[in-house]
Amino acid sequence: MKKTLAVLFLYMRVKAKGKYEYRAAFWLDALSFLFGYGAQTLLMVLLTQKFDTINGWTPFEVMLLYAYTLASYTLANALLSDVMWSLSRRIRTGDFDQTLTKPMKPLTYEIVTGFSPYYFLHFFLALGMVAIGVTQLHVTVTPLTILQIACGILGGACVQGGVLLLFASASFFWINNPLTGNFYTNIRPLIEYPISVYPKFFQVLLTTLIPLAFVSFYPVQQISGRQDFGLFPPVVRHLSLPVGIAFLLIAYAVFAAASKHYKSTGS
Amino acid sequence: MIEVAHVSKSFKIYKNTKDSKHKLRSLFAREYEIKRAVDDVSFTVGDGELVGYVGPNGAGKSTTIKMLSGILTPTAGEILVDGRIPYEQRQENAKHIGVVFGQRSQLYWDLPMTDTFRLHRRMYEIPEETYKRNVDLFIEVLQMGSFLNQPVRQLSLGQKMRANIAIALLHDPEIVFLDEPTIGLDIVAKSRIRDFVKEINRRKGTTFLLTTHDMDDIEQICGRLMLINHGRLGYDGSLAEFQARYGDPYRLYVTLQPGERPQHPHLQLLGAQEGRFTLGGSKAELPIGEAVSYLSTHYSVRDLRIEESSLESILKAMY
Ligand SMILES: Nc1ncnc2c1ncn2[C@@H]1O[C@H](COP(=O)(O)OP(=O)(O)OP(=O)(O)O)[C@@H](O)[C@H]1O
Ligand SMILES: [Mg+2]
Repeated sequence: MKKTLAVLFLYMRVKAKGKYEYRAAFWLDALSFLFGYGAQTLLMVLLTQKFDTINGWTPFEVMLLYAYTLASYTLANALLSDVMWSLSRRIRTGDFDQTLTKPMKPLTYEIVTGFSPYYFLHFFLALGMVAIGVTQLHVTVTPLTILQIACGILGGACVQGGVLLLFASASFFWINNPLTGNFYTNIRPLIEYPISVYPKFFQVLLTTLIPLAFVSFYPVQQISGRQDFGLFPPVVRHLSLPVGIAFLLIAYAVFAAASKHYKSTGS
Repeated sequence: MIEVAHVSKSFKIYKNTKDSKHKLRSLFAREYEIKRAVDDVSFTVGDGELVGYVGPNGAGKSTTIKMLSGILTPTAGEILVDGRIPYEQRQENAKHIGVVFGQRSQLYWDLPMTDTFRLHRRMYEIPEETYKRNVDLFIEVLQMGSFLNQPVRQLSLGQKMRANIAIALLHDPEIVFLDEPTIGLDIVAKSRIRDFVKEINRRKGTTFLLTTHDMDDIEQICGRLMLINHGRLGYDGSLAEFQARYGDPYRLYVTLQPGERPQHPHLQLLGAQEGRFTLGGSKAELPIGEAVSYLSTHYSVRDLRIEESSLESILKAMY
């Protein structure tokens, strides 16, 4: 662990130095991001004025769904985004060989060398949206609420990290893994709406096998006080963190097992 | 130091179905054939040996090295590297070996070598003293001073190769695998790398296993030669013995006075053109010295050239 952190910090330091050359690119990136998500946020706020409810959910609750999803996603992404994007390529080209010659766990090595602190920018924007949602819903903010929000977002980050990791693991079997890249970003909007609008089957799926409901749907109800649990008992709203951690551990085990199937390439 | 016993590695090669009707089905149950890249290979390498691992393209050299470094798991057989099973104790094994794949770089594109050195120092937890000593030594012997601070993406192939070798040796590994360390390099760069390998072996007693298609690499570095073809180990022994055993035939190109024609029961006439003759002989039957003195005493030799079979020509005949 000490070694991992030492490598991580050194890597960030030397990377930051190198970023000088990309400074323009970086600011452009940040700007485009700010506009992109800014516009989306604005749209969200405007929409809250327009529509009444979705399946009983008030506009600001739906906004919280969005904000929770985004906040935990950016957190997971800061650690795993490069892994997601580059792992399937590195496996296909055989560059993953290099990872396996290092005295570190493969995933740790990929995370450390792919880590991008810039993704945290997105995280703070998402936190801002959470704050707007919470105040608009007139939730009395106590230390407990803050703890609950933190655990909800952290749990959500674990769940989404786990999903990203599972999808990336498929690259060990599929040369052209369709689950990487934008795949997750495309299905993410699913959980930006109350999942009770979907067929029962989906609700069960999103609570059990792929527990994305614990990213937004359940933890938001913990804060807003809504009771919309479908087939499941109300306790699910408190379970984001434990479910997230368990799911992430499972996903990691799958990744580790899948990595044994690495075949390299001829060279 | 390295023990390999009856090791095989097979790859499943999936067949592509063009037929769109079968395409869907092939997603689930694809047809495949088994490709034996390494087939029942056994050898041991002792401390401080310099071993050349040669064979034609696709023979299984890189696959062997990947199994020794823990990248691939053998389909059958056992491997011990310095007492460790590489694919089971991969991380521990990684601390004690160095690996270079000549066609691939393990450097970080945006970073200059100085930073890469520092990163590896942390990654391999190299003691300060060792680190300093090695960096100084490598910069000097591999002449890396001029490009140390340039980002790797600006380096030439030869510069990158030297950098890769330096990185792989930074943590004083006891065993080093070099897969085509001289590929694409010019003569000067090649000899620099050869000298470096010999120097490190002499100073630190490091064991090297290297693959190459340049026989000069083998002749100048290696005391021992292992030959692999179609995944099977052929020759394994000293380089000198290999040349003595297979490098037996030689050729003589002689020019004699007009009208003369060379004749000797052990010299085969391979070609004749206007007083210039090509003769083939075998050292076992007639040593080169005796052949030359025979020709010069029985004929008036105006010109003579001897061609011994080079490692390259021997191998060419064997592949
Ligand atoms: N990842 C892989 N998947 C399928 N087949 C492979 C893979 N890697 C190697 N092979 C096959 O195994 C055989 C040995 O390959 P390998 O890369 O070990 O050869 P090599 O001796 O290093 O050759 P070269 O001199 O061309 O580098 C080849 O026939 C190759 O097609
Ligand atoms: Mg090869």
